[in-house]
Amino acid sequence: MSLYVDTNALVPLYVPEVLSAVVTTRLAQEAELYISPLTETEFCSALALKVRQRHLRRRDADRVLSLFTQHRQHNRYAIVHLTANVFESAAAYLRRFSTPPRTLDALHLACCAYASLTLFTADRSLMQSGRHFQLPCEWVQPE
Amino acid sequence: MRASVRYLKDHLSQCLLEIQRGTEIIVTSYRRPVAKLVPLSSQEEDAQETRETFFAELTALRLDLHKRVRGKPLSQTVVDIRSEERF
Repeated sequence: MSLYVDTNALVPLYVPEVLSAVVTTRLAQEAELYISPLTETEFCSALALKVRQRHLRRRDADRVLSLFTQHRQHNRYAIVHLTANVFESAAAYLRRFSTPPRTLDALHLACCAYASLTLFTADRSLMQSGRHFQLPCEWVQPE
Repeated sequence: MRASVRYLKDHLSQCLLEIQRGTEIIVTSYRRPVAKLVPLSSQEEDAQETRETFFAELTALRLDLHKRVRGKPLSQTVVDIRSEERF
C-alpha cells in the first residue's frame, strides 16, 4: 500500500534533524509519495515559526520552500486533493466524538481513507487516531 | 536464455551484464521456470534517474543547512503547532 506522508514526516527530508536518515531510507523504498495541499500549509507554518524564533534564517527557509515547490511542480509527489468527499469524511470522523482529533487531524485521516493510503507519520496522537478509525498507519521514530 | 538459481548465484555480475545488453533471463528452480529477469525500459530508467536526482537534491540541501538550523527538530515543531489546537 502506498504512503500518505504526513507533514512532520516530510519535513525531515528538507531540513536536517534526528529523523532525516530514517525517513529518507524508508521513503526511498516507495515508488510514489502522496501528500495533500495541507502539507504545504503546515510546512510553511512550521518554517515561519522557526524563522520567528530565530532558529532558521529567512533565506534558508526560502530555499527549503523553493525546493519543495519545485518538487511539487515536477510531480515528485502525488497529490490527494481536498475534495468535498474528503471534507465529508473528515466531518464523519469528528461526528463520532470518540477521539480527540481536531479539524486538521481529521482532514489528514480523511485523505488517507479516501485514497486508500497508509498514513506515514511521526505524530503519535495522529497515529493513535488513525488506528482508532482502523486506518493503516506507520509510525516513524528515530533509529 | 535460461539460468538456474545456482548458476545465477555464482554468475550474478555476468548475468546482469547480459541483461543490460538486452537479454531476458528465465530463472529456473528444479528445472521449472519461476521468474524472468528483464532490462529496465527507458521509461523505467528515466523514473529511476528522477528519483535519484530527487533524493540527491534533498541530501545536498540538508548538508548545506546542517549547521544553520537550531532549536527543536522541524518535525516536532509541526506536532507542537498541532497540539496547540488539540484538547
